[in-house]
Amino acid sequence: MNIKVMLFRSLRSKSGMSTILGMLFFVGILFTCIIPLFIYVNKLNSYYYRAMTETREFDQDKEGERIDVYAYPTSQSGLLNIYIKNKSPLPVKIIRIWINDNLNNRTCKIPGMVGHTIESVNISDMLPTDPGNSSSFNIKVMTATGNSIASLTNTLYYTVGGTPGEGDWAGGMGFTIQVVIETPQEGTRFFHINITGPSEFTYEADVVKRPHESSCLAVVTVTEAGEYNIEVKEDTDPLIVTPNPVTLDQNIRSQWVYARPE
Amino acid sequence: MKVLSDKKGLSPVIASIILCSAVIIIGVSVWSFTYSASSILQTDYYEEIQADIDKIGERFTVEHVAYIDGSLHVWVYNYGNITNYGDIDISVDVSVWKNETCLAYTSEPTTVPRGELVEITLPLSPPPTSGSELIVQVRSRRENVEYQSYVIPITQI
Repeated sequence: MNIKVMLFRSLRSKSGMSTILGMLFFVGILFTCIIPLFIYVNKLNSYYYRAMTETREFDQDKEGERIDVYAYPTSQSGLLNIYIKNKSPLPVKIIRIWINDNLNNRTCKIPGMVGHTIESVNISDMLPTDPGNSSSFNIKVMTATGNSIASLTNTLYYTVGGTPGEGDWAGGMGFTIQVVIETPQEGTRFFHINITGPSEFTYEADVVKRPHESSCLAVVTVTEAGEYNIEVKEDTDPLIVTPNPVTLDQNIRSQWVYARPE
Repeated sequence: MKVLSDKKGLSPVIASIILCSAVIIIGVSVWSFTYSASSILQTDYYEEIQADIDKIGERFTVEHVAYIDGSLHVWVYNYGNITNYGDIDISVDVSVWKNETCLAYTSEPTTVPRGELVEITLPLSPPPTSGSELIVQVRSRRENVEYQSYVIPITQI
């Protein structure tokens, strides 16, 4: 009987109604505003940290890019080949080549630890035409990550010869012989270079021409001035080397040499 | 009829209704205020984070500088926004300095789209002497700055 009276009283009493409603609203606000806000802020924070991590990784990749660039003239007038050696394990994307103030949109992706030659960059418009005139060329390549790498053979000099369309190239890496091996034969080719010079200087090296290339380059640093004999062979077959022998002195510190099959 | 004409107990009911209505009105008001405030907070925080991401993801470089026919040509390359979260374009102002004196600057910001190279030309008057070193300053709207020094070649004068 007492329990029945107490239950009836509590049902009739309205004194707790506002508290219950207030509590319901508080819980509603908590679930519809505060908790979603908290989750949203956390999500945005993780979004920010993810972006920061990606940016940091990009910067590390950019810093890790290591490439050597060798620009060299081909025996065909007005054309440059650019050999790029990727020394890092990451691939490098080349997006542009600058020759002096002229840009050349040539793109290529070079896998890690691999060399690649960008062939036949036309500079014939930039070459002087009057006999005796000369021009200098500075070459650099741009990577997609914003690195700018100058050619190790900078500065190249071109002087117009007596015959129209012919000229002499000079410059490059000091006291060096730069051997350009050109061959029309496709596929991977193996060449052997032998250079002998003063003070019993001897240099021997094997050079590989890859299937997608029509030429390859060997840069040989020599110790002193003097006359050097260059011999290039494919297996046992010798290649024609011009000029040969070459003489280096204080005025001509480097020489470009071209080797091609007979 | 007797039940309808009996007014006894009506006031507590009306009082309860009024009290409940007041609680509901206040509750709904507080809820809608909190909801809109949290929405504004969310939007503001999102914009703030997005601006920070755009700023940290912004990457550009002065790729090349050349002095041709009395004008300085500056090539700016936007290689940034490498994440999928950032804005894509940047706006830059370019100024040329020599011995802490500003020789030229762009009057309007130049937009450099993502992954693009843009040439910006600044006429230099009077022309700088040969061999003088210029500092090219490129400042983005997000306050990132890049510098590049350039020496006027002798052959160009």
